[in-house]
Amino acid sequence: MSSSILLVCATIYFAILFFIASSVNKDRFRISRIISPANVYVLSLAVYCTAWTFFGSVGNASKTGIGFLPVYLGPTIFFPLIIIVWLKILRICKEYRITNIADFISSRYGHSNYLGVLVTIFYIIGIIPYISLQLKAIGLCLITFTNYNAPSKINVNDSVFYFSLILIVFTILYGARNIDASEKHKGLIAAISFESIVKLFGFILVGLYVSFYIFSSPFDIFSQYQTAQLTNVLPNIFQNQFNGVSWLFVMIISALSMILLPRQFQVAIVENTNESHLNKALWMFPLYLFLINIFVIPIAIGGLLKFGNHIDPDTFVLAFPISTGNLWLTLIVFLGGLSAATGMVIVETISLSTMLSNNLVIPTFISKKLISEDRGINPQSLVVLSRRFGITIIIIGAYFFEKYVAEKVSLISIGLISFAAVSQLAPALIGGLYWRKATKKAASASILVGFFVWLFTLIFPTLDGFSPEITSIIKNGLFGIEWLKPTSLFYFSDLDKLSHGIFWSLLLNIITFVGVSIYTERDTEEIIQSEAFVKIHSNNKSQIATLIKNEIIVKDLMYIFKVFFGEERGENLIKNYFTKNNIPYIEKALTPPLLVNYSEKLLAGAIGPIATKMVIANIANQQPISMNEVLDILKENQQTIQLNKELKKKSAELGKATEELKLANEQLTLLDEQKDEFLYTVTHELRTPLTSIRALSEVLFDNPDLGETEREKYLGVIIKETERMTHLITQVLNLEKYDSGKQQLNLKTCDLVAMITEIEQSFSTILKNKNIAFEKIIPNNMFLARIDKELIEQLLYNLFSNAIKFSKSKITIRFIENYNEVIISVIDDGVGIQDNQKGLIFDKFYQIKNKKLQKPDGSGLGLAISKKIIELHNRKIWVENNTPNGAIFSFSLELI
Amino acid sequence: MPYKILIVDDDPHILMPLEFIMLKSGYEVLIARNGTEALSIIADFIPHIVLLDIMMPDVDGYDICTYIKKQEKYDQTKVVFMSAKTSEEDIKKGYDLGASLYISKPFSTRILTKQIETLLAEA
Repeated sequence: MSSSILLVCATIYFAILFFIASSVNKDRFRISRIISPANVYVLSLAVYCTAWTFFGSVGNASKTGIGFLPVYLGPTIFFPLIIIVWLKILRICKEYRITNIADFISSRYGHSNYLGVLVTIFYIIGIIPYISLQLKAIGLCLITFTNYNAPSKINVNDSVFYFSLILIVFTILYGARNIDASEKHKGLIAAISFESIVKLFGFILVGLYVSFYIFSSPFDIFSQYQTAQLTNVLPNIFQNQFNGVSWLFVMIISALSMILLPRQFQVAIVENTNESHLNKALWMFPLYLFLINIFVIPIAIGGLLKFGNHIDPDTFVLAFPISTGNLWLTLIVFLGGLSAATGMVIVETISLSTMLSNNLVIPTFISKKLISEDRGINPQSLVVLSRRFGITIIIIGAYFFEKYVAEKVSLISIGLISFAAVSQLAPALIGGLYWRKATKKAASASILVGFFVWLFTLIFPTLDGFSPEITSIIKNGLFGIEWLKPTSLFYFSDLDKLSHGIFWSLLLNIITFVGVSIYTERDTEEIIQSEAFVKIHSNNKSQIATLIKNEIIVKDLMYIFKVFFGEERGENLIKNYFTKNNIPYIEKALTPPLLVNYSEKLLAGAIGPIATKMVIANIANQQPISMNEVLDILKENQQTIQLNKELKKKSAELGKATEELKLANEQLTLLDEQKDEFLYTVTHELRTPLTSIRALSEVLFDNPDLGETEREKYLGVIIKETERMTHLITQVLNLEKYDSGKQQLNLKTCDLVAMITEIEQSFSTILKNKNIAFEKIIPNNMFLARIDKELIEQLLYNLFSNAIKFSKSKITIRFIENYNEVIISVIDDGVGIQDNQKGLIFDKFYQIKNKKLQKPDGSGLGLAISKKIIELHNRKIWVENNTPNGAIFSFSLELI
Repeated sequence: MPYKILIVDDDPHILMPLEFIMLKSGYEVLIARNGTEALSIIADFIPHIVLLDIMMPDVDGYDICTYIKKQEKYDQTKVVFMSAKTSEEDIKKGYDLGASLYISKPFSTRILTKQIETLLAEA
């Protein structure tokens, strides 16, 4: 067998892929019959897993144990956040037909051509090594395969070169056939999803093969491995210290790469057909990552056991089926790896070539006025050609990088350095999404700073040995300055090389971004764009986009459309707009502003936002809006919002105030009514004794001949009635005093038991007369409390008088100790209190309102006063019914 | 035959002097210490004058007045309210129910006796 069989296989596989893609493209085959669009979307996201995953994870695990994990943990853990960011980017891209990150960033910062170029170049430098990594993986496959079968050294590089050529052809076929890059490549996505299935299937298959065929079970692998360690045949790969900090850094750049890698942007944003697919991705994508990682450790350990150090661990996956001569499995695994590599290369290259064409090629042609009919360059073919050219040079570039540079580096390190590179765009992109005041200057400064620190701390150290100057800088620092050593910048050497590089590049990057944003201002166009981007979620999308007064004659616009979309399509696009919106089509009229907007979006989808701007500027009599005008409009907008907010707040406040006033008024009215009623009741209560006093006095005055006994009787009643009035007046005054808060408590330590004894004595005669028994249930001899003795005596007196008034045969005093307080109850066996009256009974003059009760002797203020007294002591008084009859009045007091 | 007077009040200290005064004026006097007692007394005792307190725990004076004014057999009975309720509404209500007189507590027994004489003379 020779590697040619693999080439044949690969070609057949590519043909199958292409068949799938073109069938889907031409709607010959409805993919949704087999698999839902959401699942296709999730599988296409798995383009994240490249050959680096397929081969590199095992290689990495065979050296560092679980050290391969953070690259997958990062996206998994941060996935909800990633989705939130994606959703925002998604809406912006749909609204403005943006097709790649360079266009996105340049659009955000006021259609800055310079920024677009910067980001494009940055990506090409950062990503080409990553693409070359895929080519290297394919090369490794071929080496492994041929070495195993025929030790003769064939020229692997030739095969890789041919592969590269095949890839160029297929990438062009997939991605650069249509002028409109914003159109979905559903065929491509179908093929990519299919590849995701193949690579997952291949990897799991080889995992099962190793775990259950070559070894008897995963446990078998682990136990053999333990034995091997004991006999020192193999090192313990799990011994590597778990380094939380370096894990964290790798997790962060991995998560950022999910957003910032061009291929992820392509599949997640550009190719998204429905926002709801993100919901499915939320759990399915992490599941995919989990599944593709599940056999990494068993294969890695199994490989160490079986092959030791004779084989590059990066090729363990393939080496197993080859070594057992299992051709079919070999082919499946090879195709799995091939899928992982090609999926990445194709999508990444398409995205990069669009960037290149939109930001470098087309703007150059337009600005140099190279596009015109007379010069014979057809703009449509220019767009397509420039993308094809981009694809070709990117893949060829990657091939040469692989051939001359990447040889010495393992899969994993190139991957992570690429991740660190694309992470440098995070502040500009994500910051620009959420922070309106981020400026163009800040974005480019931060990208440049990030790039150079990345270059210095991460790329430079890998060049050790290329020349003595480089070695000297690595050893002694830039210009011999020690704190400029690439691996311990500012003397900071606590981290490993990678974490150190990530830390400094991102930190300085962010500081630059924030700092420059604060110290620079956005220009007019930046303000327009940043407002539109940051507020994409809000419903009242400002109409700022229409603010540049583009005066374009319809005929000119039509000309542009015909140039870029072709005679027929271009004319249709414009005429359709007029018919749809019921606007008469007049060639010489000015284009309606909304049509200008619409056209800009359509053109942006084809040639990118920068070129669109240039093209429109060429045909328009532009009257650029001044900074002040924009600011005014923005301000107005903001002021309206602010005003609205304030008005809403004010009206809410007013409403609340009204409510409060109403309530206060009601309370006042109630209080007023209560006061009136109280006064009325008091005067009423005074009238009754006065009536009898006056009547009796008149009797005594008018009848001097009255008998002695009768005189005494009448005078006695007069005295009693006077006492009753005095008592009432005292109580009213007391109540007022307690109510108004004027009463000062005269707190002294008193024995409550002694007070009960005194009360008992003062009531003993009445008790005896009424034949009422008296019982005390008091657990201790003494209960000490700090109270106002006079007031509590009054309270007890009131409760006692009440009890005597109502009880038939017995009164009980009960003390219950409850933590730091005592509950004192006065229990009678009278009629008791109806449930609905329990709350009212403590009201002033309650007894009078209640006609059903016999009119008692008291003033009707006793319980109200008692309640006040106990409230002054910060305690409560309440009433319950006794069984079978009677009432229990209880209050509590704090004990010392 | 002496005029008959019924005095109704729940306060014994008010009943006491009124009973004394009315007896001294030569009337035939019955007293009731609450509304129920009053109603049971007038079942077979038709007084010329009822001195009627309003606020009583069981049946209030207004109800007794209404009862008396409804029945023919009390055609000759005149109701005099004596009450600590002194608001205009209360007084109006008393007259509306058919009372001949409404006096507010506290009152002078000297004036009361004269007013009763007048009422009896009108009859």
